[in-house]
Order: sequence, then C-alpha cells, then structure tokens
Amino acid sequence: MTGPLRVWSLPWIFLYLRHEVLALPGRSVALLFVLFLLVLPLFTQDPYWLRVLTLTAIFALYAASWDLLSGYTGQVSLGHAFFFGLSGYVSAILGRELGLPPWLTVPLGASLAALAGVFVGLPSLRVRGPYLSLVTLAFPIIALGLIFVFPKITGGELGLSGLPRLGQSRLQEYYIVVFTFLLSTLFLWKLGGSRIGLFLHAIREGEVAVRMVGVNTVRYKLLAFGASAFFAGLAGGLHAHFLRVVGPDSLSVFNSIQPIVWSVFGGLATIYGPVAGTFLLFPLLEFLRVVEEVRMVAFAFLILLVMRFLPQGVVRGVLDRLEETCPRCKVRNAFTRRRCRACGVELRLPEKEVVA
Amino acid sequence: MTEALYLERPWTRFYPPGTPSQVEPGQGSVGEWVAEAFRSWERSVAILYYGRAYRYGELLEAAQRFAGGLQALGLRPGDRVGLYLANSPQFAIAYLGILWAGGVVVPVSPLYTSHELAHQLRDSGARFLVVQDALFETARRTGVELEATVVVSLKEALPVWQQLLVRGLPVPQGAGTYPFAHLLRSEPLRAPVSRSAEDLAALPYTGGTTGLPKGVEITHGNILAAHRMIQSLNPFGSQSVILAFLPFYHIYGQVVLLLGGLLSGARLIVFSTPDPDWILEAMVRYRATHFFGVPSLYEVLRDHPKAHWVDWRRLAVVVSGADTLHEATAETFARRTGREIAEGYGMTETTSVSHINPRERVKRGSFGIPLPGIQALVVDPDTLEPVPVGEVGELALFGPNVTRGYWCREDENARSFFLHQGIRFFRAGDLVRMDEEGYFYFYDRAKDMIKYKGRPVFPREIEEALRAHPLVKAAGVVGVPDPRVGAYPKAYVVLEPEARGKVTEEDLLAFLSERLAPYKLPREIEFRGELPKTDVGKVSRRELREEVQDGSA
Repeated sequence: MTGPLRVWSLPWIFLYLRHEVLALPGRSVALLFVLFLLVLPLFTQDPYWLRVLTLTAIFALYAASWDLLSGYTGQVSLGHAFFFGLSGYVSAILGRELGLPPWLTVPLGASLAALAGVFVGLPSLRVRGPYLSLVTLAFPIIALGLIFVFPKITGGELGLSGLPRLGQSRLQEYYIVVFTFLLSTLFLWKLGGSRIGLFLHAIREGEVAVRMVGVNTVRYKLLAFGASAFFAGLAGGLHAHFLRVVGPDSLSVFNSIQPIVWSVFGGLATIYGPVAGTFLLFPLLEFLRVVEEVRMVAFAFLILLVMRFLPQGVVRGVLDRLEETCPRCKVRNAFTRRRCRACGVELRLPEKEVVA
Repeated sequence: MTEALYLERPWTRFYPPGTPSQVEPGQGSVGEWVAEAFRSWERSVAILYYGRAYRYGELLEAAQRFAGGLQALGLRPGDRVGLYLANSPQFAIAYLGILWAGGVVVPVSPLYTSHELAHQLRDSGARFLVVQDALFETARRTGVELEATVVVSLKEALPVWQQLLVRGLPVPQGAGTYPFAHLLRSEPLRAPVSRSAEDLAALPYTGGTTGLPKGVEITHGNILAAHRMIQSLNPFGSQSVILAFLPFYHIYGQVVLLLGGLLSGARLIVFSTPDPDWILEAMVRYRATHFFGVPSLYEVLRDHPKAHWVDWRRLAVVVSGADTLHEATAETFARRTGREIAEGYGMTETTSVSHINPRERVKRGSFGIPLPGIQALVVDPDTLEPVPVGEVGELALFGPNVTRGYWCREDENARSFFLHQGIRFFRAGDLVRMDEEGYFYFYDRAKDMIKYKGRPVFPREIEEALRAHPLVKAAGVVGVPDPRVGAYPKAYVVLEPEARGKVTEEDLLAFLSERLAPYKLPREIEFRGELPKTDVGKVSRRELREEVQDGSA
C-alpha cells in the first residue's frame, strides 16, 4: 500500500445498492436470497425446514467447490466425494480420538482434504480429459476399501456416530452453516472473477495456448484442485457434524454425481449457478416426498426438460431473458430499460430501422 | 463604431444582481488577507485530506512556523522558492508559509522531469525548493545548486490509522536537506512580512509550445484582484464544500480553489490524485457544493458508470476551464446528469480566470463573458486594430488581474503587449469571436490558424467535424506550408479499433463535405494508430507540425 486507502461511506453504499444491485433482477434476487437465509428463523423455527435449509446450504457449498475445479478449470472430477468424505472422517476421528471440538476439527479436516486435492491433482499434469476423470473416480473407491480394512478406527460399514454437535441448538447450527456457506461462496465467487479466475477459464478453453503466453498452468491447476478440495472438505465436515454421523455413504459414487447434477442444472462456471441449482433441486426432492412412488421419475424428467430448454443452466437461461448487455459500454441492464443505465445509449433500435 | 461596443462592455448586464461592474486593484498583500481571514474562521475545518480534518487555526499556525523555518534557513523577502509537490495539506502550508515570509512561489508540475525542473529553477533563480519525497531523486538529478531543500512526506498528512497501513518512503539525508516536519518545529513568525501590492507573489511557468516555458510575474495585487473578481460572480461562503483535485501548481487550482477557498472560509476536499471514483464518492460523502473540472475529466465522467449516482443539480457551481470543452461532451454530460457545465476561460497571464458563463445564463459552446473589471477586445492579429463585432480575431485583455509581463523576457513582453487608447492590452494568443451580447467563442490558438489562399481555416473546426464521425476516435489537424496556396490543412486520424482498414479517406471526405465549406476540407488524411499528446492529454499539434516540417525539409 503506497496510496491512501479507500473506505466507502454509508451514503455511497446506499447509492451502490440502488444503482448496482436493485437495478438488476439477478442481483436483486441474490440480495433477497441472502436476506431470506438470514432472517428466516425470525419467522419460523420449524425443525424440518431448518434442517432442509441447513443441508441445502452444505450441499450448495459442495456443488460450488466442484464448479471451481470442473466448471472453471475444466478438470472434470468424478470423485469429488473423496474430499467430502475424507474431511468428514478426519474430523470425526480427530474429535473422537483427541477430544477436539468441531470448530477445530472441521477446518483441520478441510485442510487435509486440500492436501489430498493437490495430491489427486498431480496426475492431472500428465492425464487429461476423460482419463483424468477416471483417475479421480478411483480415489473414493480406494478410500472406501481402506475404511473396510481398518474398521477399528473408521467404524467399518456402520461408520462413526455420535459425533459432537456443531452448536448448542438447531438455530445456532443453522447460523453457523449459513454464515460458513455465504462467506465461502463469496470467496469462491470473488476468486472466479479475479485474475486467477481468468487463468482458470483460460486453462479450460485451451491449456496449450495459456502455457504459450507464459502462464504457469501447473501452479493454477494445483491451486484449483487444492481450493476446490478445501471447500468440499469444509462441506463434508459440516455435514458429518450436523448429522452427527459419518459413514461409507459419504464416499459413494452417488455422492460424487450429486454436485455435478446441481451444477449443470444451475449453470457451469458461475459459482452462483451451482448454488441456485442446489437450492432449487434439493428442497424439490424433499417436496416430491408427497408423491413417493414417482418421486425419482418426476425429478429426472424435470431435469431433462430444463436441460432441453435452458441448456446453459437455469440461472444463465433465466438471466439472459431478464437482462441484456449494453452494446456500447458492456454494462448489464434490466430488460425493461430502453436506455443503458450507465451510458444512456439506446438499447433497442426502433423497429423501422431494423427493417431497413 | 463597432469597436466602441467592446469598450461599452455589453456583457455587464448579465452579471447577477449586486455584482460590481468594476473591481479595484487589490491592496495589501496575500499574507495580510490570510491573517485576517484565518483568524475569523479559526475553529472551522479548512481542509479534509482522505478523512483527516485541518482547521484554519492549525493551518495558520503551521504556515507561521513554516515561514519562521524558512527565515531561519536564510530566506529573504523576494527570494524565489520552488514548490514541486502534489496536492496536499502541506502544499497549502508551504504556499501560505512562503508568502507569509515574503518569498515568491515558483510552482512546478509534479509530472515534470528533472530537465524541465532544472530550467524553471535556473530561470527563476530559486535558492530554495520544497519537494515531495517521491520526487526528491528527480530534483537531485537536476544538479541545480540550492541553499536548502525541504522534503515533504504526504504520508504524514494522512489520518493516523491510515499511516499505519500505508508504506512510507525513506527520508533523504544530506547537507541542506530538511524534513518538512523539522520546519514545523521552528519558532513561528507571528506577523506576515510586509509586502506591497506591486511585489511579486508567484512565478508560474507557462507556454511550453514555443521553446522553453516562460515565468509569468504574478503580484500580490494580481492575486487579490483575481480572487475578488472570481468571488463577485461565483461567491464561496463558509458553507461551501469545494472538491480540490485540480493541481494546485496550476494557476486554476491555485487561485480559484486553494486561495479562493481558504480566503472565504470554505472547506476544501483535497485529493493527491484525481481518481474519478474517489471524487464521486467524496461528492456524496461531504455534500460538495462546488465542482471545478477540466474538459478531459468531464469526458471521463460522461462515460463513467457511476457519474449519475450523484445529484449534480444540487451543486451550486459546475465549471470547466483550462481547455475548450467540446460541445458533444457538454451535451452528453447534460443529458446524463441534468446539469449544464458552465465553461470558463483564463490563462496563467490573467491569474487564472478572465471569462466565465454566468450561472443562470449558460451558453453552450461559448466560454462566457468577461469578469467584472476586465476590458476585453477582439483585434486583428496583424494590425492590432479591433475587428467588427461577430468577426474572428485575437483576444486582447486588460484588467487588475493581468500580469505586468514575463520574467526576464523583454522580447516576449514587447510582442505580447500593445497600447490601445492609452490602455496596455495583453495579447492572449487565442482566436475568438464576440457576439452582440458580449459572449465569447473560442476558435483556435492564433499560431495554429491555417491561411489557405488568404482565407482563415481553423484546425479545431475540422477536428470537431471529424470527431463527430462515429468511428473516429481522435483527430489532429495542422497546416502544411505550400507556396501556391499558403498552407493547406492535413488531418491525422485515429479510428476506433473495429473500423481500422475499413473506413477510407474518401469516406471521411464525403462525411466532411456535408459539414464544411470546400476550402476547409483537408487535402490529405493520414491514418494513425495514435497521436502525440501534450502532458494534459490534448492532441499535440506542435509535434504534428514538427513532423510535417521535418517531412517537407
């Protein structure tokens, strides 16, 4: 820092909200969503709803972490459950053997998952595409094998139960998870929009080209693996302590596929896409319990329909209909506007000129 | 008969009610005025620098100590002191302190290189220099012998919590080098050194376009008169909040903002760097009332995504000066913000301002009417006789704020002043026109005019016409000497990136022929990737002209 620091004053923050957040449907919805999560317990403390929302927030973070690695960087991971489950087991074992509290063991588990992420990332320096995906698929299977080999430490098929709770009450647990989720996704989103995020996009689109202009792609790929695994691990640790049980299920192939479904449904390489996808699909699956017999069929059918009509994912598909980019200054505008909110240029030409 | 209209001063009827039509030359010295003004505002905030407030009492005390320190270093009344410093509270303290001690301020642009600084120091004979720490090396490389160098660290002026986070620069050591804080510990000089209105106060340098810059002799009387003239049309009060991002080294920032604000008890929001985001934020945070800008800033603000967050209509004054404001800029700005920019005109030689658009009656495209006390004339550049009203000629000015001449340049003085009806007029070197109401319009610098077969052609007119083309990014026009026609215009054009190679010379000529008379059409159009710019961001016609001359030689 060589220059004076800039601190926003309160009136300026209000102006920012008015002109940059409320002016766009997408950002308004995001703001409403955050407010909804934060104030919901003021209106209802129904244990069922709090439980659904807490689990959704955990899985949304899990999906967002997958998006950083696979959506942004293009290293499609089919074994993301490895980081999720590994962190859960590590956190549980540390808590049981050493008596450490969850607020210490969850970050420790996540850090170990990050190390594991870098380790899993090493083959990606040589293997690419579907071959890499197959390599990642192998890791959770190896981990499952190890769990059954050492049932004394890992609890074997039954897993470990009776883990310490995240907080004293449901409400406290809810807020711990929601804040972790919001801060982590904010970080991931900022990372995605930063210079590093740009490199990750570029690696997906053409790794050779990026290397040619002198970017150390090894470093950025390993960074993506590490960061992604860290947040997947964070979600895994929270999940284990929230349910107070960690079992072989958390390493299952199904658990690896889930974040992919949510991310693709919401929209790849956006961070907010997977979050939206999770918050739409996970509670929906709960709703469908009322028609238990056709639950999975209806669910699969809905996904097929959405993918048919909104192939870039729900979020991008809807946003592109609600917002448009100004051709002159590239600022986004709500579809209702006739002039760009920033530069005042007309967004749509009059009809007759289009004909001519 | 027509020349009588100039002397009748038809513009005076557009002054706001209560404005005097004449302003007496200033009496006394700046120091005396500062003493009086600062004492009456002692408790109120004078300067806000990135959140830290400086009260009038504090500033006066610091200036008195600085003056005492300078005297202890050997400053005698009339000595020149270089001021090579970005906008900061220390600039204000040093500026007031130098005048308090009877010295003469030689402001130097902080963007100048050591070569340019060396010229100003040698030419003015300055023996003292106040320099920013970041510029100390540049100053040292000039090799000019100085009695004392005072080094300013801008970091010291920041709020305390920011000082902890901002990295400072090492304080230079050596004989004759003193930290600014050291001078502030000297014995204060309680009364200003007595100076008369005819004594020099400042020696700003101007006009790098022909040869080396020349020093302009600005007296205490000039400054005080200019201050009163500006205040009579756009008064500041103790409730005014002025955004001070324009450089204080420049006469505009120095007289209008720094002195104008501090002598009126107003509050100055000082910026060291003019970042548009910060400026807009500060406008909201501090409820600014006065906005003084330059055309290039309005050009940035016109397209700035946050410019419309601010309620521009609430401001008392939105002024543009120092360069011509393109009509397209003023129009787009007005459409986006709902605020008309009042354009003004002035130069170092007139101690900042000579013309301004009155607030209630702005004419777009005009730089306004002369200030009270100014006698303006439009003369033929060759005969120096007034031209009929409505015709283009060179602007000539007389008034209590007009300089008495250039520092040690008798040849320039002989060229720049002439007598008309017993009044000594200064030649501004700009081609202008006055309408019947007394509003003035800028055409071009006199030396940029092209005489094509005896007819005047103004490069600016062609440039404006070219810029109206949607795919033209920038344009510069100069005259190419040709024995058959005198000189013909040649245009240098920079196209928008997407148009490169697609728009041809014929396209542009067809476009221009709808807007310009045939004799004004450029004979040649050359496409360029970029154009040479002056240090304030204007297209440098001087460099283009030099290219043309080198090419033909």
